[in-house]
Amino acid sequence: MLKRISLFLVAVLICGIIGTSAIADESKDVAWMQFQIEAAEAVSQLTELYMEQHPDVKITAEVNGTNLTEVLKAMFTAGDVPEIFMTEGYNNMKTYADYLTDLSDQPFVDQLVDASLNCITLDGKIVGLPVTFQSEGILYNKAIFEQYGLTEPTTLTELKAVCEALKAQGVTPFVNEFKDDWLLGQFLACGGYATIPDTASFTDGLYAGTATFAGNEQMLRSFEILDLMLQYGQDDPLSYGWNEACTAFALGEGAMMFEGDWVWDTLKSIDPELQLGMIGTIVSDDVSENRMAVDVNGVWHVGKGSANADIAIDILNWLATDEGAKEILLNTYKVIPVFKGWEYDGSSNPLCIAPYAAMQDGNVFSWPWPTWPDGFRGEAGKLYQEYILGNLTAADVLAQMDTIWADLTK
Amino acid sequence: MRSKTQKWIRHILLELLGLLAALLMIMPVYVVVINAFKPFKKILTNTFAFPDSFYLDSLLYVWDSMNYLTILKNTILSAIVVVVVAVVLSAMCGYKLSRVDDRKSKVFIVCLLASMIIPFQSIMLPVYQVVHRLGQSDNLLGYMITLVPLYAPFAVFVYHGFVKTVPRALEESAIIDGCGPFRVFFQIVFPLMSSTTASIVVLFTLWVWNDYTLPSLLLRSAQNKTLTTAVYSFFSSYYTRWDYGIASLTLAIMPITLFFIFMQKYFVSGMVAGAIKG
Amino acid sequence: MKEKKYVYWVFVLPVLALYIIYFIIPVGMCAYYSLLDWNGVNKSPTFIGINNYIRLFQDKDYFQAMWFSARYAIFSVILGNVLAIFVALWVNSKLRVRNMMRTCFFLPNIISGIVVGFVWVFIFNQGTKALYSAIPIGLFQIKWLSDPTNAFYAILMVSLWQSVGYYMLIYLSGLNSIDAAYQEAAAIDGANGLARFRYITLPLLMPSITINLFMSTANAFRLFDMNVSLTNGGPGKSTVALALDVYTELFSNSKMGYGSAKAMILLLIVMIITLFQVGYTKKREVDL
Repeated sequence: MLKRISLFLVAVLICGIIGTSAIADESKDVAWMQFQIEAAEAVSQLTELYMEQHPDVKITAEVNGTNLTEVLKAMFTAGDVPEIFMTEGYNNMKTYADYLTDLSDQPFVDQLVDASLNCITLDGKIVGLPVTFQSEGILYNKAIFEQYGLTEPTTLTELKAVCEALKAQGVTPFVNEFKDDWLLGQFLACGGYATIPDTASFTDGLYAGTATFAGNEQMLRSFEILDLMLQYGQDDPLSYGWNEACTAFALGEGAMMFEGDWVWDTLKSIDPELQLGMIGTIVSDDVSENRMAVDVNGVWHVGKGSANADIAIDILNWLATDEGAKEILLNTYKVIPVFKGWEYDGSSNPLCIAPYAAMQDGNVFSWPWPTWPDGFRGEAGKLYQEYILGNLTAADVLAQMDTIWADLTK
Repeated sequence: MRSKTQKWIRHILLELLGLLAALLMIMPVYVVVINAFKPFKKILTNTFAFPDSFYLDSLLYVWDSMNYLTILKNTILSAIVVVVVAVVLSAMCGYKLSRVDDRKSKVFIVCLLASMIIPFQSIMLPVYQVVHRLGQSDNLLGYMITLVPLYAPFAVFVYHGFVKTVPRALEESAIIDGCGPFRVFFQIVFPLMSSTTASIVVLFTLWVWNDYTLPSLLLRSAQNKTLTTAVYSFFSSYYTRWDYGIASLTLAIMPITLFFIFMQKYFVSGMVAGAIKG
Repeated sequence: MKEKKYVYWVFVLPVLALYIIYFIIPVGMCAYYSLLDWNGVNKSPTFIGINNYIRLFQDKDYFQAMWFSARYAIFSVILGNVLAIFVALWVNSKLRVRNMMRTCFFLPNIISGIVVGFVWVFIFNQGTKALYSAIPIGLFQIKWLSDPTNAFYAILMVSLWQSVGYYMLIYLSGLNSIDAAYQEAAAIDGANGLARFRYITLPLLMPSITINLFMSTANAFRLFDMNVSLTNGGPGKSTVALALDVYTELFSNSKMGYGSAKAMILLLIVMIITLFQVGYTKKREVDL
């Protein structure tokens, strides 16, 4: 009896489900998939605005910060191509080469600032729309600096002096977020790789097998800077991830931190009154080597072979021209604009003010790590962790980096 | 022979230790729940403190933005359908494989075991291809159908083992009385394994409730999402929105906790004893 | 007896059919991928035969992960099951707190995957700091997540915390399906608690032990979500379990072919281990 009832219920449920999912839909479906969960609200506003203006389009936006890569790969392999999807540009998007629509002829391309073009170009063709610029360097607490009469260091000697002065006052100079292997990967990018003269050729050399990390002067120097940060850093840096480091920094437990402007939201939620600034990653007394790294983070692509690719292209152009979209991008998404002529005042993120100014002067590095093979940033970061643990020497690390690079590019 | 006082002391000690152990076990869950009522700053700075005032903003925001009632309905529906279908089919399968213990049954059991070993990520891409080719992606029903073979092997394995505690004599006498094979199973054997079924029901409900990878892959549109996808939308490898994340997690774990408390009575011993005598 | 044949298939086929569609076929595809040089997205991957497998045998990271998983499996299987049997017996007795205990031991399972790790990172970092300021003893100064050896035990602790309740559930139904009559008869014959446990309870509990030994072994090799969120394999690569290594190859390094080869080898190894294990315990199950 019980069995009959439960079977009947199951049958009813199944009928119900089939019924609800079989409702015919006349609208054109656009699938929009990206990471950057801090922008979830902005994405939802953008899609709503577009759908208001184009009632026959239905955009399903998904902001996935945990496993977007897996989902995208599974979808592509099954032939289910989303109309809009996001990658990190450079080499990261190369993996998806077969599904990138050529956008070189689109109107929005002319409106992009030159600094953003490198990231979205593949084999001479523009294949995406950059989302925002983000910057990376040494964040510092202006209030603490003022309290002890310190000024922004611009050279290594000045940095060491600042560290000594802070230490004398009982303040920990650096908060080091070294539990995150990707952060160390970005550190070695900014504090070592980016300072290699003619970085682009060096990268080509690595891919061609003619250049090596082993013995590289700038890469070896990055370890000296790392040692400096460890020496003047908090205890037990390997247990500090994003949350622990940001909490400590926001509470004033450290005066400086190597990170990017994207931590502002976390810092702000702990102390909205924080006075912060950013300087470049300091590696020497040559000021030109101590720059911030500013580059595009996040690129929107149009899936080649997707059902409504033409609508997707229209959406990307719309993002560049529509007033409502511009407002959402600047104020809710809080982008540093990639389009010429868009005004940026830094009000949404004080950490961006210095990098933006430096970018206008052309005094920044572009990001090296997106040009590396997939997975290299994390692997190299882990090697640096082994160095911190004392298991590997600097020479060992660089030698292993060469091996891993070769493995990943086989 | 222990004196009464000694026995009494031992008893009290066991009770107290039990209480302590229980409290220690749920301490992390307690941490999650209390932080649902705190603003973001307090979560990061005073993680373990009891909230000094009940801050409801996170919970309200999350309830609204994750469309709680819809996704709760989806999750409950998935749980019910998957559990009923998987339990019935697996019990049947496990029972027969155990009773007819020939070579092919042994091979089947071994094959089913294999599916419980492989990490799902390795077969994620192929599974999606299969599902998509069958036209079942972004479809709650398709999702449920895919879950059944993923969970069933475990239940088959469990039933395969526990069927041995039901004496064959019972089945044989039922057959002699003229019962067909279905009646023998559903009216005699299956009810006697209700304790096992209770465990499986609880475990499967839990698995469906906490499943993330498959829903993130198969369920696209907002109205099809389940609780876990909503919870994970606040967490990422970089930036984590703790206040909303913890609030959504709390909303997600409450129904299943109530369910488990409700299922408690099926684990009380003595439910099954005596049934065998008849 | 003739009708038995088709009856057998009616009972067994539904699960088997679904299993073939949703598991055998995907595993077959995974085996095929392991023969390719593919990044998971490319429309035209290159066929390279068994090169991935040859490369695998020279990959020291893979062996390090295997060693980690083996150690982890031994500890978690033995400790997990011993604790679970103990707790099941405890909870099955006539204590007043037993309902609460049963709920509380199972509750850790309701927090899923990645979030468990995140919560425990808080506990290991902020929690120990808070405890230390309350009670300054050395125990609370241990660096759980930044030291390779301690990180191993941290992962073990968290997984035991979750899994004890889980295995306890199976042991509970195992205990409950042992007819009290057997225990009573043994007691009448003069057997004490320990003897009753050894000669009555344990043998009749064998089905549960088979299941739980298998599950705990399989789960030990499948450890992933918590591994990622608690340590992400760190510091360095000291706590990379096999599933994390496979995942990294598949998705982070975009090496679908090589990762699939690793997955196949993982499957093979664990299958061999569990076949021996299940074969051994199945033989000791008592058929009533």
